[in-house]
Amino acid sequence: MRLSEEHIENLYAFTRKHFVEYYDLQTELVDHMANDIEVILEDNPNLSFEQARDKAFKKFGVFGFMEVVEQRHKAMNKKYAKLLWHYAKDWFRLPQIIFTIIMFSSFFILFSYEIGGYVFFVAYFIFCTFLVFKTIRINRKIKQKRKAKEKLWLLEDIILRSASVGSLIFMPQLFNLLNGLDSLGKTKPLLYASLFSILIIYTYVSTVVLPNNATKHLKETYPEYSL
Amino acid sequence: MANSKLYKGSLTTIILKLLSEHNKMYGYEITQKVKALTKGELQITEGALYPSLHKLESDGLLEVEVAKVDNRLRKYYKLTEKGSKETVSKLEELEQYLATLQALLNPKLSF
Repeated sequence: MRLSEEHIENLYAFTRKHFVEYYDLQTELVDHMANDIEVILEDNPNLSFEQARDKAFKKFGVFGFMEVVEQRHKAMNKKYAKLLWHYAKDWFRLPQIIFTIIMFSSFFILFSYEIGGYVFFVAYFIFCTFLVFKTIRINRKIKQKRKAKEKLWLLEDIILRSASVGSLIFMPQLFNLLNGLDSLGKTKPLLYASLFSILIIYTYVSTVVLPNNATKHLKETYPEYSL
Repeated sequence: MANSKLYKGSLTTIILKLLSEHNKMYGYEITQKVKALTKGELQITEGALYPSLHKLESDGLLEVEVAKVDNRLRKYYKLTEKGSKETVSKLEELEQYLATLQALLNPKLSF
């Protein structure tokens, strides 16, 4: 017995009910369940669709789809880390490395001044303001997608959420910096310039480059994205 | 043997081997193929299969394609070039392991 469109819709709803939020994983599990249900119904024609569905679901074990979802998250986080690294290392290749060196040198010179601490505080404040602005925009986009009940893609969610999490991590440090104003001494400017340059590259890649290229990577990762 | 945990360490090798013999396969097909080949002795559980497939995909050993079959979408897995190379080395590893086990279980005594 071939399952109808209605049955397939029922299976999508079933996966959503069992905490599978993302369309790519839903699609794979729906096809798996549908195949199994068809075989179960062929062997036991007296069973209803719902009974066969529950029988197929039992094969996923006591935790249902949880293990599959959890592992999918791990796999996609790994994919995200690879993408991040792919774009970040471009900043250490020609021609971008010239910009990286100029940025680092400028920070080093500015932080070495007598008022280096103040300069660093202002630079960090501007950086945090940018992050907050980005976070608001990205969160608005996530909310719009969920409200419109558009298909959700795990990799897209990771890209957007990772882009908006920065302000939560870096903003509180702003207050700690208030204690270390004035001069940064002799060794701190080098350390601060290095860390701040890395922070800017990381933030630029995670909040601008990756979200802007998200569609390209979603198409590569999910062939069903374009269908 | 159906519920044995013995195969778990070899699950990725089993998947890679099957995919090396077939151009592309989907999840349910893999479970049924293993069941048929082993005459039901070995049954891959759904909870173990998909995490392995997704891990192999994120490691770049598998690539996916999606096709509409009947009234639903089906996700097929196939080996990448890196995956084909990995299959050879994984099979060698497994064969070596089986030979070691064999030596342990059936030692040839020499006097």
